[in-house]
Amino acid sequence: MSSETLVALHARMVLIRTFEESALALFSQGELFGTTHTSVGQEAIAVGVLAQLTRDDIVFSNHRCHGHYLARFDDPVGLMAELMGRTTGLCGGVGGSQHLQRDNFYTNGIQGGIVPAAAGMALAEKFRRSGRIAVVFLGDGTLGEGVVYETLNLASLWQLPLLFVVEANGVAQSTPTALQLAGSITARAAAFGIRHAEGDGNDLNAVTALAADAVDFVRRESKPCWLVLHTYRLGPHSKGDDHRPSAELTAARARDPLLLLGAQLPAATVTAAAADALSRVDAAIAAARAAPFPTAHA
Amino acid sequence: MERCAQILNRSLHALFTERTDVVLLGEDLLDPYGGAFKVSAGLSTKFPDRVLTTPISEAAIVGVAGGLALRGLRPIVEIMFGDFTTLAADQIINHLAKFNGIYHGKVSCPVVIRAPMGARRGYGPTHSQSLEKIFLGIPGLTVVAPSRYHELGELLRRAVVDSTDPILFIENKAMYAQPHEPPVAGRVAEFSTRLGAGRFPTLSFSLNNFAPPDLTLATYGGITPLALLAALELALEHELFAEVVVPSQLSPLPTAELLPSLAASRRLLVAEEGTLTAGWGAEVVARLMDLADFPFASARVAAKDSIIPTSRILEDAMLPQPADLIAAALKLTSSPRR
Amino acid sequence: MKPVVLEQTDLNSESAVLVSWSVPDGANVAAGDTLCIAETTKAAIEVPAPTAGQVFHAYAAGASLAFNRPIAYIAETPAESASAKQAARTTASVAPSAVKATKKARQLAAQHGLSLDSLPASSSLITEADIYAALGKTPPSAPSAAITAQPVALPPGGARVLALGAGLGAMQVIDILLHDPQLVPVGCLDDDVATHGQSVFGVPVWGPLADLESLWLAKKFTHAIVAISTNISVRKALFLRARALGIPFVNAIDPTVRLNRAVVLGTGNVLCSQVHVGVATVLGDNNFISSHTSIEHHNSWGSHNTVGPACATSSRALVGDEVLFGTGIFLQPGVGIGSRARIASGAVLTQNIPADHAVKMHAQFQVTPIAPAQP
Repeated sequence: MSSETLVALHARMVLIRTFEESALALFSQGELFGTTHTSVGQEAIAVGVLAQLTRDDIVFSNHRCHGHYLARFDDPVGLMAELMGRTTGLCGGVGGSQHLQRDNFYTNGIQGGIVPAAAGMALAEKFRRSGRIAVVFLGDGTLGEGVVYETLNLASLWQLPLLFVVEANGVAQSTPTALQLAGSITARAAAFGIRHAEGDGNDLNAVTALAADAVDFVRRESKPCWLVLHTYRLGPHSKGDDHRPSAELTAARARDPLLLLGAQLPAATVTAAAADALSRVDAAIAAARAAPFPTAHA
Repeated sequence: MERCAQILNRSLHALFTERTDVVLLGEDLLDPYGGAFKVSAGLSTKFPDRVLTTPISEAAIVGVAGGLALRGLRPIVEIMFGDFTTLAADQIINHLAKFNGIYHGKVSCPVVIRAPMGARRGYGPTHSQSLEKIFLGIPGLTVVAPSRYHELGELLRRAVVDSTDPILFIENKAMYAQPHEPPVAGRVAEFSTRLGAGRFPTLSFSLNNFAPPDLTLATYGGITPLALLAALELALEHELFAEVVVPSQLSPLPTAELLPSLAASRRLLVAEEGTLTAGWGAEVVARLMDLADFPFASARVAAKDSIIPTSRILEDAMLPQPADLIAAALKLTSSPRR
Repeated sequence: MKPVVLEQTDLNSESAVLVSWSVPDGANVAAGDTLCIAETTKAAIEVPAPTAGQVFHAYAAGASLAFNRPIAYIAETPAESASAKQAARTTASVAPSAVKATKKARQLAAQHGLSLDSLPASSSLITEADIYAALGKTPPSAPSAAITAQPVALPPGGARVLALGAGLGAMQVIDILLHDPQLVPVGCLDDDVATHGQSVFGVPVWGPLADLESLWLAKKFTHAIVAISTNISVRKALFLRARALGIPFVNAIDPTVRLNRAVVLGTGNVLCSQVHVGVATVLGDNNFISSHTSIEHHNSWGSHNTVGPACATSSRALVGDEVLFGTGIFLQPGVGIGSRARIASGAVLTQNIPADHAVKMHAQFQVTPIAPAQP
């Protein structure tokens, strides 16, 4: 990876972090509608995987989707307005935090339910022989949903160009993985005859390498792949629902992907990225506040 | 006279010939089996690339169809028995029906889910239900359930090509083997008929040339022939004229034909094959109560709130029969018109 | 000649559809040859020839077939050919009549010897009204819709009631009124001078009916009731005359009368002992209902009718105006009686009676002396 690329990816990770921390603050101030799920600590996966895709490839993300959206579109203005329920939001304030759509990017808030939809999209592209692939993001908590396995079966049976990215962040809302998941995550894919890989999701370089390989395989072979990236959710599931021991969180913060990546960059670059992200997010908030709320139709 | 299953089959063949974006997914679709009720027969031979026989995974195949539709194809899903729609309910309700709305109209998801519902074939408690009522009133989802007097092939074609949202297309199982009897020159047997407007029109039947009826009998789908039998007996034996109003679209509920009929009759009888509680009939009565600026009396005939037994004798006792409709109609008309 | 029968193979199906004939009509077949394919909701059935011979179809492809009934006939010898063909054609023609008429229409047509086939072609069912039209008659008029159940508003101390008539009917009416402290019979009027100055159960006969208006203007009474039972034209004329003067009427209802819920009663009616009026029955005005008569539920009656003792209607009977019923008459459910009809005692009415018609009985009685017992 070139140093320019690394700087750009770092800046994007900082933008995601800054955006989500601001969103949590706005939530506390009552400026967001409903709830919001942040991906604090998982930014390397979003940025590292999305960087391997073309704009023509399809992404289907889940309830924890801000990072994926910002990694693809670099659009804090549209996303913030959506979270704040404004007409200028990318879905007019209807979808909110969990239901985003733009170009070839989709999200929905039902655990596992998005997986067959992504498979259908991959199938559509396979019909058209377009060379596009579909990527679906799921968490280790989602592995409790049966439809995931129905889709693994179909994806393998029909050889769909579909990349499953499992963000194994160690917790399902508030339940530790140890209490909700049996067996091996990768062996699940193996059982369906699906190629799989796993690695450190907090290390941008590792994510980039694994994702590049997986994307290349899916596109070249027109076959599914199952990529498991281990990470740690540093923030709450949504808001006020985090009861993990502080010692665990402290240890995890030492492996914060931004820290790991920042150590590889000049201090001035890191500082500049933080300042730039803050000003862009503040501008997005100001723009959203200035924008009108939607009008309810009769 | 052709049977309803043949009409639907021919419509599917025409759709596949006419358009290359139509695909079919479902269990056991391949010839020579051709689907559990043969409605898909011959398609896999003629269009092998676009007929996908699937594992027993109702949720995944409906979900995949949603993905195909979001990417511009026109998928049709065949659910082997409508009872299995429960397995795909999350996909139907939280995904297919929602995409257009939650994405602020930026996408469309035109999936047609064909589901054979209904009893009277002895398939017992888990293969005979009329579960369409579960899917009524889901925003973004249109529920269509034609009778054998509707233009079945055309309705299926419209569902596939003339929609931007998902459609649950209910096919009554008993209807498959029955003759297809759309009106000829505005008549079906002794009845004169009127066809309403719209994509999925309502068909009305009258035995007195649409003179003001003694009651309005609203019904749909597979029980329609029984409702017509009841209407005929009411007229022949009692000189009571029921206008039988048969929507092909259950939800959202069309009322353009029901309201004027009810304004004249002031008596509403609703008949359905599904179980009584929270059925389609409850919505019909309540909606018309909201809309009507005149008083009327109403009654509902439906299956008993129980499981559907397999034995023919028990099944018959559980399901609504023409005699039940006649008794309800006589009771309803025994009081002066409101 | 042998019939080919479609055997029931599937208890869940009530009929089968004849998909196609495998051999043409009139063809020669061997025993066991497949004659046709029929389909139930669950299975396709191949129907074999039960014997060798010439087969004649009773139905065309597409027809709905009943189980365990002949669907074709086979002539086993050339001699049987004509009769087998005839049998097949007859079977097929046992179809519902092309002319559909309601039960009421069929009854009325039969009563007047009218053939339904003689009616002008209609695109809808033939109804009773069509038959009346074909007969050039007016249908029995429906009872007046403007009947209300408003209770008679009585002055303080009750109504002072004048009985119109002082004969046998008046005795019945006054007997009933005397049970009700709110309805005080104060006088009678009658054109029979022999009654003048007399009294009926203590109620004086004031004079002729011509005095009605002057007595009303003199406020000698507050309400009236017609107390003449059998002469319907007089009953009606008196009622209309009094009503034209603005005189209110009362109903005379014996305390033993049973009125069920939702009965709608007009005014000026006389209901004698043990009369029963069923749920939701509507009775108009000025009807005279003799004792032990039961008017069942959901009947609808007009006005000025007179009913002899112990008549019984069943539910949903429709009775017009000015009908005279004898004694011990029965009406089946839903039967309609046109206005001014006259029904002889003992009739059991199973069909509608048009207006202005009389029902007579032709029961044969033989009255013979009883032979003295042999010693």
